[in-house]
Amino acid sequence: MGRYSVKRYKTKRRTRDLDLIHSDLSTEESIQSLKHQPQDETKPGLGQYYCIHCAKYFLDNKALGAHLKGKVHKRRVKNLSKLPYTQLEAEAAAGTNLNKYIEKVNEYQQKEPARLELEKQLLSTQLEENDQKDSLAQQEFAGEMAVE
Amino acid sequence: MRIYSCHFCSSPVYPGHGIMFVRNDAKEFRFCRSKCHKAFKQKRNPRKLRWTKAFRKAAGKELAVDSTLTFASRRNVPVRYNRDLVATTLKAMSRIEEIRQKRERAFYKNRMRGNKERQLAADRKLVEENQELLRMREVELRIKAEKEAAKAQRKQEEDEMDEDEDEDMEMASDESEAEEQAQKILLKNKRKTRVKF
Repeated sequence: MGRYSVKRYKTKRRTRDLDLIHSDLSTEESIQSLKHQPQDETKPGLGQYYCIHCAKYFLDNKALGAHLKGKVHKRRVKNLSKLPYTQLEAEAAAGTNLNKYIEKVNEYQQKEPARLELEKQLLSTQLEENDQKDSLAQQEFAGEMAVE
Repeated sequence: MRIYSCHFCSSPVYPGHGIMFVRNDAKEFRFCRSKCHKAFKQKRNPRKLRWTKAFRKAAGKELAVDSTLTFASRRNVPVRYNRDLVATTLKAMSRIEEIRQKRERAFYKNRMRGNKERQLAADRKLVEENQELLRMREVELRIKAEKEAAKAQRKQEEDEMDEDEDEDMEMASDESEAEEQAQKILLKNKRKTRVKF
């Protein structure tokens, strides 16, 4: 390794890129799977309170709700409202693969309104669903206590 | 040998130049220099930075959609060698480049059209809104004249003073004697100091 070990890329704090988040939000399955993740001890809040736009876990439903109302989240949503920048666009700007890029832009313009609708519809109920889950878990917990 | 294009500024990346980042989904990002790499790490949007090709195309500064630009593409499928095909391709390449340059020039001219009139209108507006700026020269001249007048007056006063002094000279002769004495004392003191050192 030698001097290369010093120059190695630091990816510990690397966050999810916009094009990946855009693909996260593009299908119903991926949105649902991210909304209802299996419990994970290593993640904040057992991985139950996730903001897909910001790729961020929260401790509880209250924190998630506060985040969804905040400036940072709104800015991120605005950034995601446009076609994410990819290598294809860089190449098109350089003068290669322009046809592919134009095709992609056209496809995006066609599909974007429907996708946005789907996203809004699926994510509008996130907080309520989380609340329901929480109350269910609490009931179970109370039941177990009673049995003991 | 392959010449890649920079992910950020779209400039060519020759072998041995720049740096590559491989994301954990195996996507490659090549950068031509540390400037582009740093900007990428800061998650800047190339469409918003004026020095990138992506900005220039997105903002309509350069010819973006044109039939001459659609020929260059990466096919990733080898083509069997054919002498005629190579000859026609080479011929077409130079011809297409010629046409592209011509169209680019026309595009630039069209983009710059009306700049002169716009600039003129802006200048006119500036003059109309800031009329006092036009009279700057007058104000300067006035201040200069005032200064000169003051100088002349001072000189006149000094001349008058000189005349007065001539009259006073006789009166001040006693005073000058006193001054000479004082100077002698000073000189003496100086000599003393010299001896000391």
